[in-house]
Amino acid sequence: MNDEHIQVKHVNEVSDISGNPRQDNSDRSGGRLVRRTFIIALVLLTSGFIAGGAIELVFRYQESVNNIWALQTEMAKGAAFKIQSFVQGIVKTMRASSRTQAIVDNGLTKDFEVELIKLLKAVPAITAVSALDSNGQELFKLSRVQLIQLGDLKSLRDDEAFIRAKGGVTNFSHVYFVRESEPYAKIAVPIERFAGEIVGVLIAEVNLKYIWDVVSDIRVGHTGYAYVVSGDGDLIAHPDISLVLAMQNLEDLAQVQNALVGEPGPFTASTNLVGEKVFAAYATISDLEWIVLVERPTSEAYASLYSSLFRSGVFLLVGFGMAVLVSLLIGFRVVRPLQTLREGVARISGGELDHHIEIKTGDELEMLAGEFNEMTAKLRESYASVERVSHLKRYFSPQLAEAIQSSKETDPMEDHRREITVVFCDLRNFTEFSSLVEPEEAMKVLREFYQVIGVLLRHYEATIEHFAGDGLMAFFNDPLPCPDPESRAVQMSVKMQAEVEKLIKGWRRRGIKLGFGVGISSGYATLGRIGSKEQFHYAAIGSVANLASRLCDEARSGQILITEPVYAKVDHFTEVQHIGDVSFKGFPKPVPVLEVVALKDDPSAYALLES
Amino acid sequence: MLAVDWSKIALLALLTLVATGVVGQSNQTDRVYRIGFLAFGSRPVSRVVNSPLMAYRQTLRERGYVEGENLILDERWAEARLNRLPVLAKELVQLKPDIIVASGAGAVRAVMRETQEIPIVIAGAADPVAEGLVSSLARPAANVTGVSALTGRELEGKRLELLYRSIPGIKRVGVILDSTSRLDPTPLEIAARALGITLLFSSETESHDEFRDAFAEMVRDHADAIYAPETPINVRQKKLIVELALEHRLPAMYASREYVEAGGLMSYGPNFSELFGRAAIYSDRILKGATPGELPVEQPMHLELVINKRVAKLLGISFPTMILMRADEVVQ
Repeated sequence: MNDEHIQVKHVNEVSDISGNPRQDNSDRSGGRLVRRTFIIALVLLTSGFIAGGAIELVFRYQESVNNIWALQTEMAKGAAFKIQSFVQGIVKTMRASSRTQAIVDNGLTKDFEVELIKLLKAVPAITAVSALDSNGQELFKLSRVQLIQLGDLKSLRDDEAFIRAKGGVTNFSHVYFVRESEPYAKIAVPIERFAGEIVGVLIAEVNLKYIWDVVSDIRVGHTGYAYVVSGDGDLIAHPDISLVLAMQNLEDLAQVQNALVGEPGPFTASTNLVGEKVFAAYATISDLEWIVLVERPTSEAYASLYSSLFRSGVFLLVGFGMAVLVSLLIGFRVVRPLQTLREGVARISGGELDHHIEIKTGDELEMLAGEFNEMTAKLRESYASVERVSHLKRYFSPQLAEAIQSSKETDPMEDHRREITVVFCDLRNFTEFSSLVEPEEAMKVLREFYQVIGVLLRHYEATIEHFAGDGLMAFFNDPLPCPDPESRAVQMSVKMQAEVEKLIKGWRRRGIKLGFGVGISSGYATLGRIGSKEQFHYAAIGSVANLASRLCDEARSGQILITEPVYAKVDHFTEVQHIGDVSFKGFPKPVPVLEVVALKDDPSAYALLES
Repeated sequence: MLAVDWSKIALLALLTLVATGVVGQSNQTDRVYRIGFLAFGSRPVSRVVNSPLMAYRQTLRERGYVEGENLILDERWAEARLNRLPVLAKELVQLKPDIIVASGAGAVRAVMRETQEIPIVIAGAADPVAEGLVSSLARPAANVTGVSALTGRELEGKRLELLYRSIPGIKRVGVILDSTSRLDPTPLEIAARALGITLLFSSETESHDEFRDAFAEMVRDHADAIYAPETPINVRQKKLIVELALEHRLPAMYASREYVEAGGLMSYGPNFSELFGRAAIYSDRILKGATPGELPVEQPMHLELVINKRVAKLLGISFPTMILMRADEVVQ
């Protein structure tokens, strides 16, 4: 029965492992582990990369913007300086032309016209120039284009330019356009005889298109450029002169607005007047209230930034790729042995106890596999012992079987001689009965009999020598010794008699007339295995066994016959009746035989029964 | 396996980069530009240093356009014959150039009649608005833009003034103006009135004989000097006019330096070489994608006073200091 139980359990486990649902589940959990390990590794590795890259980028961006701003501001200052020099050059030339010997000698006279011609020759940007006396009356006027007649000369006494120049200040007019396409400004300087003695005013019409020459000379990087706007936001000069001629007002551009209010930079990228994204810086020409803006397309201004961004991006990408790779590697490195482990465990639990899990990772996983293998070995060992025990249990009570199994040093079933107490018992008239009834009926009776007997045999830890149809032979004190073999034998027999008597009464009601007799003897016997290594039988050979058999034969139904040596050990709790000396076949001398009548009311006698 | 994929991707990306770089580069060099050039005047006899077309070529070369490499320049010269212009314009348009550069209002108009698509760059045309070449200088708003030759009609008066200041006391000035010219004499008349000068407009001039007759007539009418505005016929008869002026010992004012170089006394006007250089910049801009209608028409930067001292000597004239001072160039 134990055997069967083990087998059933066994089968269950196998079906559990090989059953599809469980397989799936285990697969999924494996996948999840790969994924989790992968994701953790990935997040750890890439977040490092990204964080590093991002911090780097933020700082580099800031640095780049500052550098670009500083560079372009310098450029704008340079341009402003050049334009200022250009305008101041005109102003200086104008002022110089008013400092003549003729004026010192005679004041502002007609001779001054020569100076005006010289001025026109010297400054191509001046298209017309006129000299005013101290009352604001134009004395002469020269123009490159227009015909000037005496009648054309006007009084400009209320003109702001005249008033300011008369006050000793160089005056710059607003920018105005001639023929709606060319920017002009009027510059007025005082004509001084001596320092502080102002005798007139010189007014020049300056074509600001000439500033284009200056502006177009300014190059910022490859495609950067400079341009000039007036205080009103009018475009005065631009390398692309067509933009100037188109008379644009740039007040709406963010960078121009910022520059006009003197916003400190750096500015963010803004749109230029042809719609490109540019990075702009500016400088103010203080004398003129003009502003020089230097713009560079962001694509160029940020080129180094972009290339570094690109580099960082590539690094990030490569890093990311490597992170993915490493993560996968880690995932697989952890997961593959885990899978091996899982498969190994599945096979072991499937019954392949000699399966060895092979993991050579040199880490905890290998250790784990080692422990698994160790566990499997132990499992294999204990499984073998369980099998042996179940074999032993055929002969010995479970306790005895365990005991035999656990006695490691010497094999208790080795051939030896020992004093044992043999119990022989059988059913009377069974052979006769079995020949009269159906085999099923006979077997049913036997099963009922052995059911009762078996329980008691196990209880008293008797060693079963053999079953013989309606009877059996058992003995005590071997293969493991016990302190009271005779007591056990007698007590077990009494109990058997009582239990079997109940059965016999039941059978009698069914019309089955059977009896039960027991014979007990003790003495030395030879004990050992009989048979092959795989199929063997633990046997007790000797006259003690024969004697017990003869006593059993001699006993009537309900009788327990014992020998004197047996009685000598149980007399303190057993009441006997002397039957007398009986001669048995195979025994040279008659043997004194006693019948166990009853057990005295001695608690110690029942100790075993109650336990 | 994954590593292989990455390297493949990297390789592919690299190849793509290289490929686009090569293609991008080859695109820039492979393109050959074709520019048509139409001038009213005559092809320069020799490759003189100051030829305006040389200046045009030079400026283009500075901007990366080299004839025989990435530029074809088809020249057409009308040799100052108005009736040649439509034929030459048609020829040029049939060549399907990227742009057509036209010098002189007549040339511009001839090309305009042939195409509304091909961008036209004006390389010197008097008063483009008045001539109806563009609607406004600031926003030409068609397929025409460029550099105007003169700063409006005021320059006519300015020339008369300079002539007057060069030869003080002149009272009667002959003006060689034929009826084929579109020139409006009003500004000239206003200037003459202001200067106290009587203008003697010449009779119809086209043939040599007519010119001779016209000069004879002006001398008969006691002309003290002559002024030859830039008209198609005058351009064509440049040499003859200069010769006749010398022959009749008449001081003369011309519109451009070519007359002075040919033996004329003096000229006041824009420098055409400079002007053609500017036209080259316009050409470059349009070839690079600018819309002609959005490029404002530029006005000349320089107005140069060129005088010929040798001729002055021949005529027994000595220029006043003021004029000598103002002269940008003195031809000896």
